[in-house]
Amino acid sequence: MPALTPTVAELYRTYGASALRRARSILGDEARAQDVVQDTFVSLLARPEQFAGRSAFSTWLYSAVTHRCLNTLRDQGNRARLLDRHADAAAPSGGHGGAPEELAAVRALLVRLPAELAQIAVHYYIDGMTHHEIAEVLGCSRRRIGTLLESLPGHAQEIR
Amino acid sequence: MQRAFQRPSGCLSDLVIDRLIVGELDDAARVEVLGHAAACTWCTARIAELRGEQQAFAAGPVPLALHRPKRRILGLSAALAAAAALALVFLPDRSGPEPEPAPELEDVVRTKGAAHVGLYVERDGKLSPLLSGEHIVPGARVQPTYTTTEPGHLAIFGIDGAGRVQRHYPADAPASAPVRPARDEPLPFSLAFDATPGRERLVAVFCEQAFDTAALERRLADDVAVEPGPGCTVDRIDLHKDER
Repeated sequence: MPALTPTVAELYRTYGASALRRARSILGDEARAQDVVQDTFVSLLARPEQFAGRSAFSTWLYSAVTHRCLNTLRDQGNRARLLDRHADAAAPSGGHGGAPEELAAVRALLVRLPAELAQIAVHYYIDGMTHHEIAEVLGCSRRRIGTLLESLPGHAQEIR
Repeated sequence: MQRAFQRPSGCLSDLVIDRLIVGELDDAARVEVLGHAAACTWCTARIAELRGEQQAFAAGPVPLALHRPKRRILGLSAALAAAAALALVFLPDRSGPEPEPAPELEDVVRTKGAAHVGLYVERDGKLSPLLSGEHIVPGARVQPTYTTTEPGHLAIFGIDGAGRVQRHYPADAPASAPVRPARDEPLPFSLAFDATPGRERLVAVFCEQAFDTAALERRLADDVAVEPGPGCTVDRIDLHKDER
């Protein structure tokens, strides 16, 4: 007889809001954000082993959504468009959520960074996470996060 | 490059607040977080905001759809995709030795609206629809979905080759489960098939009103044919479980 296993639909209802918020903040586009969230949860139906249970589901989901958003930015050709538009963007200032043009400048840089560095940059610059929190999400040491963040200005300089 | 999102120094991140809201924090962390929030208006407001978001989403999320139109499909591709999606959904009674032929357009129109279940199985890393009469291998993981244009009530049973009946949905309630109109809505369980070869039949019963699943389960166990009564639809899917 088939055995019953845990439900993705319930996870979607419980965690979908935070996933959608994350995707919105990274992509700045409601429709694409919904696509990313749907794809993330549907992929769990096909490959539930993605979430190995080594961390809390929220932590895994933050990382998974960020990864998909970065791929979406790359795939959609936003890179060239945003870079053209914001190549000389001024450095963003603080504030809850940041101004749209500032976030666009951040996204423009993200799509040209190496994958791991881009993910760290999202958590640091867009989410406002601490080194400790980023290390927890990515499953690596705080020292590594610090080292990679220190290397970011150099990468950004090269890209510009 | 400066941070685009900045919260006051020492305040809670969204990740911590999300984990608080869904109950992932252990007792010590929860006490610490709530202690901070009690003395911090910024965090109190942020917790309320994110909790409201979560509750609103949980109450009426955009349906989790296995088949969504691709946003960039245009023209003929869109028409073909729509036709393929329609062809997949209509199998109101799928029992019998032969897989049903693909429905003609008239069949689709005539049967449009009948409630039914769908099955999806992972193949080559992607979800593929599983139709009645198809073969599966032991260990296959299958995700059921349902489609209905009207609100109603649903129960799903499994019958193995030896005639044993198992109630899959709702698993632990004596009555059917209410369902709202949806297309290919994933049901809150999946099926993992064991290594015993043979037939597996799924029987899904949709009715306008709630019904007694225990009585229905007994009829199935006694091998009494289940026919749809007034306001009900019965959908059957036969799968053949092969030896690995």
